[in-house]
Amino acid sequence: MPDLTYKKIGKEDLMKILQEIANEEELIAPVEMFGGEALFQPVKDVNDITFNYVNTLFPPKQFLLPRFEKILTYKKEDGKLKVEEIIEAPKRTIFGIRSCDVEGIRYSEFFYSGKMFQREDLADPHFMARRNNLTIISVACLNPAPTCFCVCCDGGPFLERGFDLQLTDLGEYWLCEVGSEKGTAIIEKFPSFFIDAEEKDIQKRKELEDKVLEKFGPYPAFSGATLRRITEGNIPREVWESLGERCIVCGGWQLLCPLCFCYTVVDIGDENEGYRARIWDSCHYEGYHRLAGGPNPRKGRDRRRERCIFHKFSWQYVERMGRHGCVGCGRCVITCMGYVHMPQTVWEIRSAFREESYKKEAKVR
Amino acid sequence: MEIPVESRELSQLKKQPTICSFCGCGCGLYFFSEGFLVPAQNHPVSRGKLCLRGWSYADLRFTPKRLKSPLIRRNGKLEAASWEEALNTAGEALKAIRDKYGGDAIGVLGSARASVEDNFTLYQFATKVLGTKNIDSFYRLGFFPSEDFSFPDLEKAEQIILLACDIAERHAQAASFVTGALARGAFLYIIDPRMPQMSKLASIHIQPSPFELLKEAEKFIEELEVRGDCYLLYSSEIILYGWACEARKVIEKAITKGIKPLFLCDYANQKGMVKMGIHPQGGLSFYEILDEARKGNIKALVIMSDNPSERFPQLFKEAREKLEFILVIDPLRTDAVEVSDVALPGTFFFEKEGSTINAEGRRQALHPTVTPQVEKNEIETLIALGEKLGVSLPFPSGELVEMEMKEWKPELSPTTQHTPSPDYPFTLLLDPSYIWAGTAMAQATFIYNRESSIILSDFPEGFVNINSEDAKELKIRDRMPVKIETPLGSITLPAYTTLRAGKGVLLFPLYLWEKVAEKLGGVEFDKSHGMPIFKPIPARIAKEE
Amino acid sequence: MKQELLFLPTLVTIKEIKPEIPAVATFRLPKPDGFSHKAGQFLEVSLFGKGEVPISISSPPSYEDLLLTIRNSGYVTGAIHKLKEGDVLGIRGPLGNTFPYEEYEGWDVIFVGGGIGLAPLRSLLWEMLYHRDKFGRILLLYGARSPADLLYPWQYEEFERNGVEILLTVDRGDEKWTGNVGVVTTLFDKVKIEPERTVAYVCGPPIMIRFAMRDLVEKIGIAPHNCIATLERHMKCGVGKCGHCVIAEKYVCIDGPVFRYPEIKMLERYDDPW
Repeated sequence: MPDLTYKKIGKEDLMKILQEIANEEELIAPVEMFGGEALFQPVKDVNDITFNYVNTLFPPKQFLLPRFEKILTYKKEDGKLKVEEIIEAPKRTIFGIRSCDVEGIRYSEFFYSGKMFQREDLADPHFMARRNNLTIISVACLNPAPTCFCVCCDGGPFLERGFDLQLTDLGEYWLCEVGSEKGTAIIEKFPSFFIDAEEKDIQKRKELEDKVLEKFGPYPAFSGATLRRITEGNIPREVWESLGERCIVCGGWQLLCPLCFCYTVVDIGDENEGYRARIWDSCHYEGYHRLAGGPNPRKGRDRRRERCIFHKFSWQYVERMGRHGCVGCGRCVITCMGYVHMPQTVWEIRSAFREESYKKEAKVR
Repeated sequence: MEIPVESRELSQLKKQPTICSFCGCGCGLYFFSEGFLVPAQNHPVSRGKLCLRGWSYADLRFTPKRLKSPLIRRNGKLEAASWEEALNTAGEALKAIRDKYGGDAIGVLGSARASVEDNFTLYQFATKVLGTKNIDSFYRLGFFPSEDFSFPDLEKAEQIILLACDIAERHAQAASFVTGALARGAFLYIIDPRMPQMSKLASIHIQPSPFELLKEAEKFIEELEVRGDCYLLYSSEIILYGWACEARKVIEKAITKGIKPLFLCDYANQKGMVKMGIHPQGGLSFYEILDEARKGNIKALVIMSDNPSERFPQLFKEAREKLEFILVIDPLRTDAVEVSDVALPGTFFFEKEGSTINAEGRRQALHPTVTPQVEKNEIETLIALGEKLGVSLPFPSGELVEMEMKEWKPELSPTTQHTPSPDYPFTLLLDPSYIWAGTAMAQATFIYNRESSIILSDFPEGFVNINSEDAKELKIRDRMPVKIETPLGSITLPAYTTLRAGKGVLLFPLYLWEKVAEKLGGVEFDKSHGMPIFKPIPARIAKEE
Repeated sequence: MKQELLFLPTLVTIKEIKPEIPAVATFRLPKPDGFSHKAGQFLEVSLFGKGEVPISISSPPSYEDLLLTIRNSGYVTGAIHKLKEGDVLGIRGPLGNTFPYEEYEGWDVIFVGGGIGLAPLRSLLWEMLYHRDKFGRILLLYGARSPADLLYPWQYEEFERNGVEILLTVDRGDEKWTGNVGVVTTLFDKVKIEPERTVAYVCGPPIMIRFAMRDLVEKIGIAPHNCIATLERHMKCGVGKCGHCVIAEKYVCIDGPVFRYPEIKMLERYDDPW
């Protein structure tokens, strides 16, 4: 555990700082939508920020890897083609992001920076430019939602790395843990607002963390067991087929997963003028795996699901990426149309060995 | 005259949800100008879930198929024009045709991907300005007037019957409610000559011969012991097979047994569109409008967000040659726009004020959540066009629309069906499942890069779906051309072997309808509710030498 | 490759288009400044307005130009086939790993190709012919659907002049065809080699690679480590970002496209590499 600096800040003082930040750069914070859900949005006035949320349905990965991103434009001028790359990377601070999403950003960064392949020369210029301009002020979770299972997946509720500042609600104060130089820079920029935290505040944070752990809901994710079974590669075909039959191929899981980052590339325009864009893609879509000319190595829904879980849970990926591919945010539990989300999948993989219960229909608990 | 896409400053922070304009489920979602969307979590239908098409809906924000400025045909070529110019040209042309041939020489096509208010205004425009009673829409294809229901109740069901409908492919959100019910212990019964995706989850899957489909369904419903909430889901299939009249009897029988019928509309605002009067009311139906145009009796078409060429390309092409004038109002640059004389840009659901009615009968509000990329919406366009013809149309206020809303209950009459014959062991059946293939909405998004009906790009000329076991017996392999013979004619198509087709059933996709029907004696027509139909035909099959 | 150029294609003008067999043509492109590649690598070829496709390089590194043999098999390649000489394409690369061959100096070499799979092998084959004295026997076992589908027929004579033993086979012969009929693995019975000092390079349709590799190891007795194949996947980015080309945990665009047989066998446990 790195040496963390502990500070604290009054609640109103924090809002003043955030307003300062919003005036200078883009502040991303949770905002309440019409239906009552919170979503991360660019905020100009800090009074728009809502604190009444556990987590947003949409992870803020949108601000690092937009769903729709123009990567280059081309134009024919006097018969000569001119191609230009577009890198849009405004300076941003994100406030209110939860631990699981911070962990997701750290995971994506590890991948997009090329560290996964030990090929940092292949770092993605678009992603990295935005990442370098992003400051993360995360807020630790004190009340997990019934769908959350980050405690099983090392994705929260409190973090020890990946953030610039981590805030914990101590009642009157926010406890600030400083996790990086960017975090220190914020403290130094507004020295009058931050005061040193006392030992009892740090003690209180630890107590809060212990309390949160008791509040977790009924969705366990047996990540350890799954990891071993996936790596051994001998999960009965019937398990995948049973999962595949209930899959409705919406791809929502991958689009909402803070650790998913596949995309597809399209050209929009004619031969004279247009742009190339990348759009999020999901490995559950059949078109994702289709090869030139029509053959498809993963035509069945079961094979695509197997592929997805292999990426998330196999030892091979753990070795390359440093962690398994689930942070337990619980978004798939909400968005999965066929009720075969991550906890359900993992549960069925595990119980297939125990009592061959895949032959019966698994019940959502 | 391009309006910039960027509009972050204008977007309110407290976003209103908008509605997806693909299928009849009507999912709520938050739409953002950056080209992404979020399923509404507190919406009774979407509940934070969206299907592949729902997620792809966001592509419409940056679609290359967007019609951005008015177009006028000059010297045979479509050229960009100003709104005033385009409205004047269209107004003059329509006026001339109306005055010369009378209002009934003009056909008007509404749309299920336009709002209730748009269709209201179009109806007013057709009746009050043009004075025609020939108003209908190609988006009424497969519509069946039916009871309202509630999707959230479906999840609490004990028993669910799927009568010839492939919900996982076409009504994914309904399929999600069904899987939710199954996960809680419900029983699923399927009566379908095909093998739809959910068939393996069913406790009983009856695969009748297509000719026996409704008889089997009736028998099953009679024998079923109803426990708790029981739902019967059905969709456009049985309507398109020409069984609307018989289906109504089966449904009525089901109701007497306490089974709740759910008709799943194929298109977003199909119910709302029909309620606004877009159906044959003494005038011609959508198919007849084009048929009469081909004969030279209809002289002009006014099309709002509709594209006849999706389902009947040949008919539309022949009709186009005879038509004197076509006006299209559409947010997308469809095939209809390409052959139009004047085209005016329209707006998507997420760009306009209004409402839409989904399969449940739930009327949901639409709000402009992003800045429209075009100057005028459909209502403004139609009112402005009305002015040019000297009639001022009412603005579709809430009350006015409410007042005009009418249920449509056509008198249905039975159709004669083909009978099976020992010389023809197979049955050729229309499969409306790849319903979005080739539609303007699908072409405007990147569904083709994603969707399971990617097989469509492997078979650009179409295909016939043959049961794998049958194919093995006949030594037919994938992509092999096969000749299908019926008592009415024959057609050759590449084979696509899957288990989706039941034994003895040959399926062909909806977009091939016209091509297949042409070889086998033309599209048939159920006059009682103005619906082209394709009855199951006994057929035999052989490898093409 | 410079990081700024990760997604930005370099523009090149097509020098020559040479139609090969039906639906296949070879495009000759000039090398951009500072371009150098190794046998086995591929390029991402852009046609603006249509898209980008991964195409393996068919010319040897020492050759003055770039040769790309492209089959018309889809949306983008179909559009590329409609281009004329003098039109502009964008290229990114070279990408991917390379055929290992320096370690095999002095060994015998056997190339097994099927259909358009000869294109990536050609790059290595020519590279070896430029350094002919460093290798022992060089065999080319090549199969196609019909005699008309045999790729590069105009070059076989030149290969033979340089001491390549060519064995051809077709799935279906015509009246003029006198050679072998059958899949490429049927040629294995006709070659006599010393398996312990032979390296095999395989490329072709997935099913052919699968059986050819199996037979090379089991029938001929070449060490699995010395059986080398290039795999095909739909790569959208070519630099390990988009995720489309993954087989188990291997990214074909970075970890591949060239794999040795034991690696492919490992992947087979979890996924379908063929």
